[in-house]
Order: sequence, then C-alpha cells, then structure tokens
Amino acid sequence: MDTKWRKLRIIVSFTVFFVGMTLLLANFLSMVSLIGSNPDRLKSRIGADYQEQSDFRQYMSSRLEELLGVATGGKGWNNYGVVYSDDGITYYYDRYYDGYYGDEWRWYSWAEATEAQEVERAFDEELSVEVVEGEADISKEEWDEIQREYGIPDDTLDAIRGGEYGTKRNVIGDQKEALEAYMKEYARDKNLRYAVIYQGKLLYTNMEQLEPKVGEELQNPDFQGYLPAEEEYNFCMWFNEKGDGKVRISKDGEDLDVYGDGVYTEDSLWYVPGYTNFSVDESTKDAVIFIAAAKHPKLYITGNYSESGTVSNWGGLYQMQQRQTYRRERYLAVKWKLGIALFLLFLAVLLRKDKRQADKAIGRFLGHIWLEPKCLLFAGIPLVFLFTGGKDLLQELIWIYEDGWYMGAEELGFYVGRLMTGSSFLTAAFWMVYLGVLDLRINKGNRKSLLGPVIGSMRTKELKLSVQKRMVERNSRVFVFAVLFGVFFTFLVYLTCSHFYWDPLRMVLLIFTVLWGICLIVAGVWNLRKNKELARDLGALSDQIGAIREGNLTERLILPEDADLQSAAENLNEIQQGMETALREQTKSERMKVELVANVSHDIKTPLTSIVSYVELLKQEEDLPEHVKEYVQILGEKSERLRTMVQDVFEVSKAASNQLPVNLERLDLGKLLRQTLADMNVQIMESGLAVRTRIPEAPVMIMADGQRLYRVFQNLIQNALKYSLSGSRVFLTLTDDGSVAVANIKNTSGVELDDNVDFTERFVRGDESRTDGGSGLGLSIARSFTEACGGTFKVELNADLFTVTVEFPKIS
Amino acid sequence: MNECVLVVDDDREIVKAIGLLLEKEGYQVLKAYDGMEALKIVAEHPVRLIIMDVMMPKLDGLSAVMKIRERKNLPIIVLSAKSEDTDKVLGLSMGADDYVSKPFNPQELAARVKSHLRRYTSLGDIHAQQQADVIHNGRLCYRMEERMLYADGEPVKLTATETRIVELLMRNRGRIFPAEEIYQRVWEEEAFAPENTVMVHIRRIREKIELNPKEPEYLKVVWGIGYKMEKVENHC
Repeated sequence: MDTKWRKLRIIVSFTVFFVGMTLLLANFLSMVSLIGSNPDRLKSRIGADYQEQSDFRQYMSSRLEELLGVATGGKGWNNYGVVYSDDGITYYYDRYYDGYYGDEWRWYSWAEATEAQEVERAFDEELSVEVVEGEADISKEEWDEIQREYGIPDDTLDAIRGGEYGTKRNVIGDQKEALEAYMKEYARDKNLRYAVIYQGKLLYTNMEQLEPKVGEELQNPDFQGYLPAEEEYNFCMWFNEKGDGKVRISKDGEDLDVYGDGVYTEDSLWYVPGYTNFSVDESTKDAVIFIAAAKHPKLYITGNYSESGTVSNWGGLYQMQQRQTYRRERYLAVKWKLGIALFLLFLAVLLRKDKRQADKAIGRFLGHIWLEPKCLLFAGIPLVFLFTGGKDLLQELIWIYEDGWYMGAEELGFYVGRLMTGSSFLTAAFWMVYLGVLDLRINKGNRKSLLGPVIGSMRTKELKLSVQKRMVERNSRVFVFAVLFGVFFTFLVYLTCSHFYWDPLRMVLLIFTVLWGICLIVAGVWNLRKNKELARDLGALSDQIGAIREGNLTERLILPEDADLQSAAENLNEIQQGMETALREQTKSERMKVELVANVSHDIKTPLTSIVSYVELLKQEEDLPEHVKEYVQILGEKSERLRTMVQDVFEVSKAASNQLPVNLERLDLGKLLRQTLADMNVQIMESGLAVRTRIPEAPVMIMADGQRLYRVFQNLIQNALKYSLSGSRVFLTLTDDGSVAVANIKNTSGVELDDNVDFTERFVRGDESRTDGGSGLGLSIARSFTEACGGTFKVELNADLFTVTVEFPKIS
Repeated sequence: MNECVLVVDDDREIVKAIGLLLEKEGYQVLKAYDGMEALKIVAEHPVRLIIMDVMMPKLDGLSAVMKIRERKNLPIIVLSAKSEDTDKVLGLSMGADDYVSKPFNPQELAARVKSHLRRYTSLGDIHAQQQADVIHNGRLCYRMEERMLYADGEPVKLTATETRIVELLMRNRGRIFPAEEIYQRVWEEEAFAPENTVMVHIRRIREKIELNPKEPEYLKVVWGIGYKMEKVENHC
C-alpha cells in the first residue's frame, strides 16, 4: 500500500512539473509581450469598451475625413477604396490617373478569385480578375471555357499571372457615378450612422428617418433625434456644428475634451480638424457632418441575390469589437494558464523529493535507449522544426540562391528570430535540453550504444595484440584514412577546376595541392617507419619490465644508440641494477641477522646450562632451610622461562627472515585443534576457565606443518588462558566456508587493552607493566608460524573481546 | 655399580655440575676439558660412557667422537648449544649414540645415562637370541607372551588399557593411528570425541616410558592426523 502510494506520488510530481512547465513555456512569449506593453494601451485594447481603443479613434477620424471628401465632392474621399469581401471573392476599388481620357482620375474595381466559378462571376460583373497563382483551383479546360465564353484574349492569363493585376480595368464611370456606387456600399454598415450636409443641403445619410429628406435644405437639425431608437448609438461626432470648423464628440451623452490645449501633436488623441495648427479650408467650412457609432456593433448581411449574393459588413466596427473581445479572451486565457502553471510549479517544488525520484526513473529509462538514436533525435527535432516552421526561411534561402543573391545578416537575423520566438519551439527545445541533461546526469559513464559493442570487440581484439603491433595498427589506420582523404580531395579539386576555364592561378593551386598530397604521403611513410621502430623498442621495453617482474635481474636491455627510448631503457637498466644490489644486500643482512641471533642465543645457552644444572643440584640438597628452598624454586622457574625464551627468540628471528623450515603435509585442522585441546587439558583445568569449542566432525583438510601449527594453537590457547578475565569463557570455533578454513579464538581480556597496539609485534604485551607471565613472543611466533605455513593471521580487539583469526585455504 | 662416566666440556662449571649429578646417582665420574684430554683418559681408564660437548678447544667434540669410535664401542652422548635438526643429524651420524641440546634438563641427562649404560652392560646379549614374540624398539621391548613392556630391560608397570594401547602401537611401529581407531580397537566401542580420553592414557604411558615426557621420543603425536609409536633403531 505504502509503495503504491509512493509510486503514485512520484508519477503525480512529474506530471505536475511537466504540465506546469509546458504551460509556462507555451505562454511565456505572450506573457513577455504583455509585461512589455504600455499598461494604458493594453487596458484599452482588452477592455470591455471597444471605443476606448486607438484603432477606434483612427477609424472615426478616417470616416470623418472620408465624409468630408464626399461632402465637398472632392477628390480625396477615398485613397484606397473600400475593400469588402464576399465569400471567395475580394473586391477592390481604386482610382488611377488616366492620361488618355484627360486629366481625370478614373475609378475602377477588380476582384481577386481563387475558384473557377468565381472567376466566371467576376467576368460576369465585368471585373478584371487576378487568379491567385498556385491557389486557383482552375484547370486548363475550365480556363479555356471561360476564355471562349467571354472572348478573353490569349495573353490575358499570362498578363494576370505575371502579376499585372488590374490590367483589364473595369472602369465604373466618372467620379459622380463612382461616388454613388461607393456610398451605396457605405450605407450598408448600420453600425455607423452618418449624415452629410453641404451648403445646408442634406447629401447622404443612412439614417432611415432622415433619408426622405435627402436633397432638401436642412438647418441645424438634431441629428441624434433621427437615430433609430431600437439601436443604441452612444458615440456621436459632429463637424462644424456651429460653423466654426471644429469637431464635437459626445459619448454616452457627455461631451469629450477633443482638443486639449488646442495644438495638435503626435500624442493628441483625435486626428480631426479644429486645432490651432490643423484647420480646414473655406469650402470645407460649408460642410456639416454627423457620425454616430453603435455601442454594440452587429454583423449586417445584405442578401444581394439579384447582383452578387450576400454582402456583409465584415470589417469596420464590428470586426474591431470582435478583435477586442478575442484579445480579451486570449489575455484572460494566458493569465489563467500562467496562474495554473505557477501553481503547478509550486506544487512541483513541494513534491521535489518525489520529482527527483521521477527524474531518476526517467533518466534510467533514457539510459536504456541507445546513444545514437538519442543524438539523432536531439539534432533532429530542431531540424524538423526548421523544416515545418522554418519552411519560409528555407524557401527564401532557395529563392535567394537561385536568384544569385546573398542574404544579408539582417534578413537572416529576421528569419532566425522568427523561428526562435515560436512558443512551440521554445517548449520543445526546453524539454529536449531537460531530458538531455537528465540523461547525462543520471547515466554518467554507462552509456548504451549501438557502436559500443563494435568498438568494444575491436578493443578486446586489440588488447590481445602486443604493444608494438597495436601501435603499428593504429598508425596504419590513420595513414590509410589520410591517403584516402588526400586522393579524394585531389579528385575534388580536379573536378572543380575542370568544370571551369583554366587560368594560371588555378593551375598553381592544383599543382600545390598535388605537391602537398605527395608531401603528406612521404611524411606519412617516414612517420610510419619511425613509429614501427618506436613500437619495436616499446615492445622490448615492456618485455623487459615483464622479465624484471618475473625476477630476472641480471639481463640488461640493449637498444640502438639513436632509439627514442634509449634513455628510458638506460633508466630501466639502472633501476634493475639497483634492485639487484638492494636484493643482494637485503639477503645478506637477513642472513647476518639470523646468524647473529643464533650466535647470541648460543652464547646465552651455555651459561644457562650451568644455571639450570646448579639449580637442580640445589633442589636436591636436603638440609636447606624452607625459605632457601623457596628461593631455589623461584630460580628454577625463572631459568626455565629463560630457556624457552631463548628458543623462541631464535625461532622468531628465523621465521621473520623466511628461513624457518616447514614440512607441509595434508592434515585435518579440526583434528589438530582437538588434539591440541586434549594435550593442554591439564592446563585448561588448572586455569579455571571454560573453553567452549565448535569444531565440525567432518575433516577440514589443509596443507600445513602440523608441529608448527600445534605451536600456533598452543600459544593462542595459552595466551587466552593466561590473559582472560577469571571465570570467563574462551571460545574456539572452526568454520569451513567451502574454500577457506577459519579458526577463531575469542576471549575476554582481564585487563583493559589499548587497541592501537599491534599484539603480534615481538615483545609486545597487552599490559606493559606486567612482569610475570609470557615473553611477549607468543602471538609473534603464532603469526610467524601461521604465515610460514601459508595461512593468514589476524588479531582484532573489540572493547575487551580479543579475537584471533587463523585462516588456511582448504584443499580437497 | 661404580661405573665410570667421562664428562667432557670446556666449561668447568658444567662439567662439575654434571659430575655432582652423576655421582649422586652412584657413578664414578672422570672429567676432561678438551678433546685431546678426553682421548687420553679414554685410553687410560675403563670408561663405560662419555658425555661430550661439541664446541671445545684443541679438538672439538665431533672429531673426538670419531677418534674414539675407531677403537671403542661405548655409548656417547653429545651435548651442544646448537639445537638445529641438522646439527643433531650430523652428531648422530658421526658416531654419537644420543644428542642432548643445551640447556638441558639435568634429570633427563641422568636418565639417559642410566638408560644407555643399562643397555650397554646388561642387555647387550638379549637381541642376539631374537624371539618371534618379542618386539624390540630402541630402549623398549614388548614381550607378547607376558603382555609386558620392558624399558632398558626393566619391566614397566602398565594398566590393562595402557597395555592394550602399547601392544597396538608396538605391533604397528611407525603407523599413525587416528584417536578414533585407537579407541575403537582398545575399548572396542564407538567413540564420540575420543581425543581427550586417548590423550590422557598416552600421557600416562609417556610418563612411564619416556626419559623426558615433555619431549617424547617414542610415543608421538602427529598433529592433525593421530598418534604413533616412533620406530627407533636398536643401538649397540
């Protein structure tokens, strides 16, 4: 249950982190642009009131200017024509300067079509057609049919395709006609109500109640009163209401401050005439304009079926409001998403321990994937992105290449920048890097790779070769690659040159390349030969090192005088000589040491013989006083101890210089221990200590010298009996773990021991102040004898528990 | 008895101590302090046994032993401070009958002298009349019919169990018997951990037959394998 809960927590922690991070990154750029924008502007752009936007003010100013143009019958009522679209066809109105028909601006319209039937319809309306290249769903047959039906000249399509749209202008007529057509379209949008009065006469309006009065005199009318009651028009704009050429604007019944300090600057809110530095001419002062904007613009669709189907007011105020709503929704969505993202990331921080576990698990999973696909993926994902998101860039690049132009750094920067700012790119890049870092961190050192086994097998194959062969092989490999590269490169240069005309510079270049190639080959061959020699010497050197390791200290390594490794060989020879000398010296000094000890012990033994003999004689004297008998007893004990000590010193010194003769034979360690215990039974009884044994019945066969090993265990048991806390127990166990026989003797020390002391050192005793008892050689002899027999001897002290472990390799 | 024993050592104190010890045992002791002197005394006196040190001035012990052996067939015990096995082998092969390393146990030396002398004097003729039911082994001799063990010709008092052990080991001199086998064949029953029981008996037998029970010559432990009766050459 607990592990299940843990697992769930790990999964949740990572999911939370993943979703949070992805949300944050996906909205990161939106957030940056939101933070970076002017707060007032931002507020107006996403506010509830679309009329607060600068777009709205600009739109209204443009409408005023347009209507002023219409009122004065001037030529500037429309710069670029009304652009409105119907499903599939976009109509354009524009004017052009027609030199043939006098100094007249003529009006024309054209349509842009993408479907065959629309092309047809556009021809029906006698409009010129631009077939949008690449997108027109028009086959050769269809075009031929259209061409036949309308009698279009053959070169038209080419002209159209060549981008000269508007070549077949459909001239609507003179300016008056164009204006009427234009205003007819204009009136359709009921979100914008207007009235245009010029010289006191109402010219145009789209307010139904005022329409009957078109063409009549109208003095200072209350325009607001004519507005249809069913719609709410909260924004009104008057021009020249009082004949002063100024604009009044009211919103929700309140007048706005239009002019501020009366001087127009770039910062001014309203681009309308009436500033001290923005006045109108005299004829314009005869115009009175009223414009009202709906509080909630609607979409108006007119079913113009007799002419061209439905026409809508797509664009204008309605769209402006739609755009604002869309922006607001997006803004709110971003805000929410960021909030959720931050909350999730906070949760992830709280669950960071579990997340770390998840990271580890993912890292381990990534470790199972081969390295090569991972690398490809790592390089590939950005490439894929480049091909999808960066298609434009590539097309541009191809176009530029084909055209023979080179892209400037500025353009390149622009396209790359556009790529980088994509939120999806940012998110993808982040997760790629995150997983990459995770993989690197968790799977340090143990990469699973496709090429790995191949390289590995090559390496093991190489390891079987000697050093010199290995070096030669590696060098040859490099040489072969270099030659191949040289040949290929020369061929490439030749190809390049042969494609072009021959000029002296190219000739010189080619010759130099060939010369360089020859130099490379010569240098390579020379290098290869030298390396071969070096490899041979190196092999000899490593063989020599091996020989020294084997113990051959007399044969010297002779290399040619000019060999690279000559000095190394000399050094090695000197080391070898030094070792030989040192070894000789050491052997000599060991031998001398043993001889010295033997002589000294001999010299001690002779007087000791006298002491022992006379003590014995004294013991046999019958009429000695009691106290003298006691002295003699002590003398006897001490001389006996001295005797054993001299013998021990002799044996230890022999063992220490590896001169102890051992007679190795097969024996049963268990039996040896039982025999030793039986042999020492009396001593054990006398000590008052209990010896607990655990020795397997089955034989534990080892190779050792029985006599020596008996001394080892005799010493160990004696030691235990002598230094144990009285009344405590001595534990002797023999265990057999298959390959090693381990004998263990544990006892509780009677005195506190210092665990920094090596008890197997000669003359070391647990209690330095002790004057009776052992010579301090017991453990030393035990260790020496054990090691001489090929076993290991270990002393451990844990508080008062003194443990000696003797190990021997088992034989079958 | 008043048998004549020659003690040779360059260390006068040792010679004196050995002399005192042997005189207490009732021997007549002659003393010499180097090899030449020893040769002279051997030539002039009826010496029955020689105790000879190895390292001496003028003529060393081993050379002296070789010279004496050319003419006399009497027991010689060599004394030496060298206790290496090689030294012992060298001494014995030069013609010595026994080897005692310094510093020795005086009691042991006395016992050895006694043992050698008894065999040299009273038992000299025994092994001429070889009997099938008598097993000889160095100082020891087991008579099957009597079920009795003799050491240096003197009967050894053994218990029934000890006698059975001695008989088993004497019949198979040199063979190593694991404790289990000894127990099975002597007690005639299965044994659990027989080492202690067997060891107790062996220790008691040693005290009765060995000159120095702490360093046994005959009844030996083969560590990690078992026990055996060492096969000892019959001297004299």
